[in-house]
Amino acid sequence: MKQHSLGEFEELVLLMVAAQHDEAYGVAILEGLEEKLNKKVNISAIHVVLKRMEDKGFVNSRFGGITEARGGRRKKYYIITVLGKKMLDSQYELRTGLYQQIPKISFG
Amino acid sequence: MIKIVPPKRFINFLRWFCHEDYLEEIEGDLTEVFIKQAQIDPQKAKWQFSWSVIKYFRPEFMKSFNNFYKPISYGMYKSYFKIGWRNLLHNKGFSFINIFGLSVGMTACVLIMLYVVDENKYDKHHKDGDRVYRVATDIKGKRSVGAAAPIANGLKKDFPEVEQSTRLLRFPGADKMLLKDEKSQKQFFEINGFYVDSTFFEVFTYDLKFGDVATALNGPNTIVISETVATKFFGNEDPVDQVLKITIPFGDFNYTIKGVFRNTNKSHIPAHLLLSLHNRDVGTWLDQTNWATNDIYHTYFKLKEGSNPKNFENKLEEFMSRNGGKDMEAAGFSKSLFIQPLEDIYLHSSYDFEIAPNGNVKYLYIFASIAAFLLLIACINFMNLSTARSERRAKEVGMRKAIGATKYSLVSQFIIESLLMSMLALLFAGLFIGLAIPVFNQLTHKQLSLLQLPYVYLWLVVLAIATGLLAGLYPAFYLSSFKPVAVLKGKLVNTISSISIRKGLVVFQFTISIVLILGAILMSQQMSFLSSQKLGFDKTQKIILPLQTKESQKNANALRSELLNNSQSISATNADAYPGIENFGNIRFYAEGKTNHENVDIILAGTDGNYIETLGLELLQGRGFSQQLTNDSATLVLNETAVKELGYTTDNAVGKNIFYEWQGQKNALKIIGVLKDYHFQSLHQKVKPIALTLPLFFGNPNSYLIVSIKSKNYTELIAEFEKSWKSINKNSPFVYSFLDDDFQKNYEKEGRTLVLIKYFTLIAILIACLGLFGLASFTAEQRVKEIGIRKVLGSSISQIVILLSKDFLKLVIISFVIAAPIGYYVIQEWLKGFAYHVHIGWWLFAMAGIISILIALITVSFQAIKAAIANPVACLKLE
Repeated sequence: MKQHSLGEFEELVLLMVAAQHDEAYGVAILEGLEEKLNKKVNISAIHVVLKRMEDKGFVNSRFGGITEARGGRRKKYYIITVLGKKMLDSQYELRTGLYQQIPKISFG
Repeated sequence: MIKIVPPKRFINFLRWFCHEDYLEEIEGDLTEVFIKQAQIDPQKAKWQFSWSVIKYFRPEFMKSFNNFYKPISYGMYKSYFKIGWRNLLHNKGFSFINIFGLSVGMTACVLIMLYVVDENKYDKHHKDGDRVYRVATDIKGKRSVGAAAPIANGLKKDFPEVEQSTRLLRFPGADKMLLKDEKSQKQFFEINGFYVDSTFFEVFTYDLKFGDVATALNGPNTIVISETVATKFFGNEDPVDQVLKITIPFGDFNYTIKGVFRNTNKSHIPAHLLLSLHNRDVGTWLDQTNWATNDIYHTYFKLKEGSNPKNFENKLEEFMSRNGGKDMEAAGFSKSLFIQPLEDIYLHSSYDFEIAPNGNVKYLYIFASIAAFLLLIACINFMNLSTARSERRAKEVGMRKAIGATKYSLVSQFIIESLLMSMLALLFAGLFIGLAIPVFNQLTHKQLSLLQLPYVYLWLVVLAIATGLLAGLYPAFYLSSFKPVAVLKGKLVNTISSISIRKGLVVFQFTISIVLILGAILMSQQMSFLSSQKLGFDKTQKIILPLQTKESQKNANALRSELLNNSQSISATNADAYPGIENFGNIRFYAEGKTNHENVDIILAGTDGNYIETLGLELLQGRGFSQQLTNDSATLVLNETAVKELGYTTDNAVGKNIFYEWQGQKNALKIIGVLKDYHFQSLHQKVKPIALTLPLFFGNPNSYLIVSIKSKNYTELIAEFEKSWKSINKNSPFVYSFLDDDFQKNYEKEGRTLVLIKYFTLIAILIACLGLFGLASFTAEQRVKEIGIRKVLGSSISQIVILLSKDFLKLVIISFVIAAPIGYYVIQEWLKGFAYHVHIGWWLFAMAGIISILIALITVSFQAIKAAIANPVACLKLE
């Protein structure tokens, strides 16, 4: 299997999808990220990333019901796949592994 | 609170480029974000929304290019065809009216266009034809297309810009030539034999099947014949160097065939035979040098490339006075020359002495506009019926829109339906054209066929598509603009503008029809006026025997007495002209006490002592010629017009002399009688001065034998005449005609035009009525409940019929008001071509008005009565 890479913003979005489990859709992800990152994010960036990750097989999507607030448009919910989770896990391992190799020097 | 909506323009933009798979999510998310943000800062929200949309404009989110230009797939088109076909079958009546009307319109249009194209093809095949001109003569405003003999050579000699010049002579009195091949003993009469100069083929392009174009006419007594004539004598063999004996009134002459030309090209010169002017028969005595008289040569010349014809024409006046000044002085009049471009001659020239009757560009304009109008009213029908029917399909349109059809897809659906119909119409039109062409050819005396113009097929398909688009466009946009909610709720979708447009179209249709009706009635009136007008002579029961051979001319008197022995003959006369055919001779006379400068051009008819009696002319004063012609030498009989123009009166003319000058000598003739004016020419022309003279004097004495007969049993009598002829003229074929037929031939063109106009009027009325019929039946159907209720409440049938017909009658009356002045103008223009014509009376308009109202009434009332007598229960219980 071809090894996919995961960019930084992609990882953030994927983490958000995983965190909001089954309730993740464009605007929810946007708001979650904005809150955590404490900066403005453009919705289009999130859509680009979601689309890319769906193509890579990290997320799946389904349509939800119609809501009045969205001009009659359905929400598209995203859920993380097994592959996506594995990817997050390996990223996490990589990072924690590296982090623990940092010598215990006091900074400050 | 005002609801703030995202910028419409950017949503549309997004919808336009964004791939369907992502559109809903993106639009939904964007809207959600927008709504949240708008509560804080609407302006910023809008701005942000727009900016986001632009950010989506990237390849990942775009529609794929395969689908980009075809949002409707093949399957959708298939469905449109299916629905269209079902609709067509479902409304058989409407479909029939639509398709039949269109195909009839197309048929008429194509036939007329074939005719127009054919008329335009004359003289377009000549190499450098755009540089060839004809020189014609203008004497005191009277234009004739002949020119004097030396002019052709003079042009070549005096003007360096003239590349070549040539002459053609249609020899007076030799319209018919008897051709004989001595070897096979075959002989035929041929018309349209012309004498031409050896340079003829340098100016005109002829396609020679046999022989060499460069040398064919170089030798003396040579002849080039048409393929048709060649086939008659020699089959498919090469006849070059064979000898033909040609018999004309002054003798027999042998000509050597030097070429055969193909008859594929059309020309204003309808030649069957081209004889060399360099010959022993006519050539010698016609080789004149006088510049002023005898304008009988059709003279053509080719200008060098780059010469300006206008400048050239301006130089002709000086050319004429330099060369022919003396001759004109002697002849007592002056004349000027003008030029005609070769390619324009057939359609634009109709002066005196044309080689053959030409076409008329005015008629082409009339026909072409009729063609366009016929097609237009057929299209209008289509539009009218489709929009009228739209109410029935309103629900369908509403449903389609609710399900998600775009305006574009609806427009394409209706255009496809209309194209389907127009293609069917094309199919039927093809069939109709095939059936109608033989009849049309008979009417127009042409050999038209669709094969003649290979590109006509393409043209037909384009026409059908254009018609379909034109006819479908309005209904398509009209239908697709319905508001789905309104339609589905059952609101009436008729807006005021759609009704008035529909009415306007009906008015337009009927205006055209009424103009055509007016034209047809008036033309019929004029034609019957032409044939019933008193001509001043008796044209019925006269048999004409042309004496075209030397033998028959020699025996003219013997034949005359032989035929007079027949108990059915009343009287007979020998003459060189008779009413209805062209008289060739004319001389300029002046009266006593006047000079040659006050001369009057008088046409001559060579006759004997029986002419006045045989033709039934009326003598006002004096007498005709006596039987002993010698007693009457140097006398003549004039008509009233001649007497008046000379300056005498009817009462004092007899016994006076008139004079003419010939080769410098003054000659006198004595007037012995005055004739009441009679129409020796067609009624296109005013009566001109004419003189009856003795055959000894001018012209060819015995060209025709005219016999006045009692019997109406022509077949038997002709057989007897033929027997007498054969006993006297053993070697000449027997030919005859009737005076009234010959006279009527002058109106052949008008007669043919009239027949065509009548047919096209009928077609126009038919198409307009089909449309009206469809609309009427539609209205009746729409108001079926109203009618039911009215009947239940006590309306009578006649009240309901009036109710339904009233609206349409109003439209027809409006059309009439518009059509009357247009028709008046068109008719007036047409009548200008006749010196004698009927008056346009109020009754003509009344008649056209009544006819059109009656037609409309009959068409509408059929539906109205049907609706009125229906049982109200039947329609009211439906709900």
